[in-house]
Amino acid sequence: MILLKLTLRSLWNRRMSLFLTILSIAVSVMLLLGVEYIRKEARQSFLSTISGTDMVVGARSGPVQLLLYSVFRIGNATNNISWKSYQEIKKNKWVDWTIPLSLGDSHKGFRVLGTNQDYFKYYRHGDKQLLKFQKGKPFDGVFEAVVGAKVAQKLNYQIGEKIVIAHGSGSTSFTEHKDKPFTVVGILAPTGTPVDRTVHISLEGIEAVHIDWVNGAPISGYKISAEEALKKNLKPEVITAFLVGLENRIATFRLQREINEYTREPLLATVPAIALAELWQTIGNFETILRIITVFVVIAGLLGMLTTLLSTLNERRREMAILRAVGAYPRHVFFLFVLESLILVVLGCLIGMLLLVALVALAKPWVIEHYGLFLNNWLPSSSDLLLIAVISALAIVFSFIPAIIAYRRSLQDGLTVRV
Amino acid sequence: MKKQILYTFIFAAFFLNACDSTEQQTKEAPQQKEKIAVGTNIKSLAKKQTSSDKDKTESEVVAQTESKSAKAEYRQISWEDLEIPGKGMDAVLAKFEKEIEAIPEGSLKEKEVLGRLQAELNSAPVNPELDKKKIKLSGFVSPLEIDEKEGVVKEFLLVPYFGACIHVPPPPLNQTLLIKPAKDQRIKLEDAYDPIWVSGVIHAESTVTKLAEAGYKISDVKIEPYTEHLQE
Repeated sequence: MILLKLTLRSLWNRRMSLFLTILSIAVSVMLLLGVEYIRKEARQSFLSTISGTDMVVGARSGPVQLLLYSVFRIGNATNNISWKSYQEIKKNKWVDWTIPLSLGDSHKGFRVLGTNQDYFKYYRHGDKQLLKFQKGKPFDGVFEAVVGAKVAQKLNYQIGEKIVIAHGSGSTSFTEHKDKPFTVVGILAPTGTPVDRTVHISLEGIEAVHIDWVNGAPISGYKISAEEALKKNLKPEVITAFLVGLENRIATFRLQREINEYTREPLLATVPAIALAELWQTIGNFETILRIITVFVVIAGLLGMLTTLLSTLNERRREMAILRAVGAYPRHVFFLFVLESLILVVLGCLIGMLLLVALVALAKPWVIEHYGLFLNNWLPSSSDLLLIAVISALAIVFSFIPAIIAYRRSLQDGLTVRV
Repeated sequence: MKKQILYTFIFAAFFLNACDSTEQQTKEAPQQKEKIAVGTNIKSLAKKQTSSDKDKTESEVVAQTESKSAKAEYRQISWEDLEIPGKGMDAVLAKFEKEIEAIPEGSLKEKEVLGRLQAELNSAPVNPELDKKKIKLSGFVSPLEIDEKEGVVKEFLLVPYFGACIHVPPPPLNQTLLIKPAKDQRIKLEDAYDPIWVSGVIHAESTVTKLAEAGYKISDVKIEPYTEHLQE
């Protein structure tokens, strides 16, 4: 007890330089835990994009590519698939439900997705959660749209807003389907997935805006108004991809092979979980690199602490000698140092965690604003606590060096006046 | 002449075998000595020409060795045990042998027969005797559902070989087992490519009666990393 008191007093006496030491430990601990946090957040937002879907089917390309363009809305589709093939596979006895996806158009930089009401019924993300509506309802008519949370927020859309779909997927387009505006009828609740950045319309809507387009350009003089378009046959000819839910997941490989060997059209079926795992294994390598870097940062922080302890060793010769003179054993001196570094590192870790909590809380609104990512508040997990325990243990090991030096110094060493 | 068609299937079996063994080589596992190993069913398929009822004797041997080491609570089974003796891949191939030989090569009829052969392989029934038994089986993980918070596999199919071997048809329904491990038994996404041992209670539901329930499921599973030597 007296040892602890002595340590605290001694620390207080040298508070200025020790404060900086604690700060350097705090910053390195914050960095380490912060990287762990970002890693988990990134993984979560990545893995939560699709759930409960057994298969993604699209034109033949690669499993990862198909998943990227159909679910993550990254990049463009290689080709469309015919409505007929879709209908045929939909009838397969193993298929429970399907969601058609039609991509290729945009609205002010946000992707437009043509689909049907099944999207709101079956599409699941995160832990098998269905999409929820913030306001409004699913689209019903041809010229109705449901926008993601991010779209509504960024463009400040309310229910009833008229929007225009543009051709292509750039942020601006010079060919817009101006004559056929869509009405926003629903705004989805935030999901933290690409759904937030998507404008959803019906497949018939996609057909309607393209009805007076021939050979990739609108024909001048040939205009079909929105009302006229409604009267035309709006049955879609093609879709980009579709999601499949199975009656029984045991049949996964069987249906996959059946689709992959479909003779009338080159199709590709991929199991999202497998493609996600594949993709994550590639991205996961960057995680490891980040982790290695932060481990070195923490070691640098601890080395900083060691330097401070060693440099004060000379200043504290008198202190140690006096302690010895009043009856302290060498082991007391030893523990004085160990205790000191333990206090430093624990304080450092605590301040580091507080810094991280503050930083995440501060960054949250900004990240939502700029990246549409929803950050969870930072709370130490069991693995974080383990990391802190490891850091503390490491600090104690480091403190053995000055402690042993002090231990071995004789009583006279501090009392002899040297010039 | 018609033997050729049958040979394509046997060839396919060899290909499958090839996929299989390369995967195991990467795990530095020459496990020929061992009777029960990942993908043995494929090997027995390759061997099938010699004796079609060898299948049965093999599983008997397994049962015997198993009863000897009776202290094991979970009976270690092989992938062939999941098939009904006489209705497994070997038997189906043997059944079609004559028919394939009888029809002219390259005819439409041939395609049709091969189609039926494939269909029969696909709908190979589950072994009802295994229902509710405590078993132990090794295989590979094919993830179906991922927990986004922990980055672990929540639901997967256990299959006899790794990845999709594109040369041959996918494993039939009775060679894929649906597993939903409890929270503490889940596999990390990073480890999803390694073979595993699964112990648990197997449930066999016939394909014919219930579509949504068909096939094997294992409940109350315990998952361990795969080791070469039998763990007794």
